[in-house]
Amino acid sequence: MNLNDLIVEKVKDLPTLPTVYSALCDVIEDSSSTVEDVARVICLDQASVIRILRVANSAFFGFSGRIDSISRAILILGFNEVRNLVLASSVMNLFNKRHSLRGFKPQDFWIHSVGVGLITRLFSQMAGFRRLENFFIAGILHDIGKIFFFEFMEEEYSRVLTLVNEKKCLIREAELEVLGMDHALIGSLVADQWKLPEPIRNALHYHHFGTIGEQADLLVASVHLSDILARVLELGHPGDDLIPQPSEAVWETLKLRPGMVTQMVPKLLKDFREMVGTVFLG
Amino acid sequence: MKESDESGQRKDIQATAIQRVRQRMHWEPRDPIEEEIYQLALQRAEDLLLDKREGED
Repeated sequence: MNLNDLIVEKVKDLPTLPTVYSALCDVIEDSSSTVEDVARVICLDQASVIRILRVANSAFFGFSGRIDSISRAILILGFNEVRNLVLASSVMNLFNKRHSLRGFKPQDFWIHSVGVGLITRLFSQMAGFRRLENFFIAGILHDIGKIFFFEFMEEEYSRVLTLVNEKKCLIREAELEVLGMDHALIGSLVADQWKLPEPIRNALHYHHFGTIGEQADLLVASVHLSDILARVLELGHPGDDLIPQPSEAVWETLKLRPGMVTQMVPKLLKDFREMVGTVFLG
Repeated sequence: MKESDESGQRKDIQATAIQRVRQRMHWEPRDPIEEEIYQLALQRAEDLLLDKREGED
């Protein structure tokens, strides 16, 4: 079996997401479900309950300290945002190796991912987009392919990280050279395996380009620029030290004008410190 | 600390920040937003170096 086939096989063998997530998807899909039905499912998993309440009460979501029950969190955040928070919690628990590998530290990786999630959502707000629920989760999961390699193909990924250290290149370039495929493609395969919504899958697959081929996409553009900005602000560490050049196509998609990015930074850094320090890793 | 020492330290931090950003960004800004991103990277690098130095003191 060649390396590409082996990687694809490993994706197929990926553990399924916890039952609470699939049960939650089922109950949300059912149009007759009530808030109480959804709350009952989430309450089966206490780790998710705690994480949702913490995140819902953070300044980032704007309801500081006012959400004291899962039912209220669902009412205020909406079914899909709550489902995505359970997804984020489930994925972070699923990949649980804690040691570092040639400078790649899982904790710094997740900190970077949370930073990208926060910025992605801020960009979507700035662009005046109303349906925000996929933005935070797409940012958090955008590099899931890297953590897949680290978790399930450590020996091969060690060669990738060695090359990054030697050549000072982007981790993506080293992945293509050593493995023949990059974490963005693997991210899309993981998304397929877990049956994640198509917009999230596309964000994982195309986040290095900022567009889907020639086609503009707000979520893809947001994740693309957020990844770069999280690198600029040194929020966590994505596995290499470089800041890639943004795709020019994203300015128009995100309705960005000079000065807007700088203006969002103080709030972003404040939200980031709170989210990382007390909510995700506290 | 004397004013000249502070100014010297500041210049040292700015030079290190410029070097760090050049190592990380292998491209030239093409438009005002990219220039803004470059300036943000520079400012952030300076802030982090300053935090690090204050932590050491």
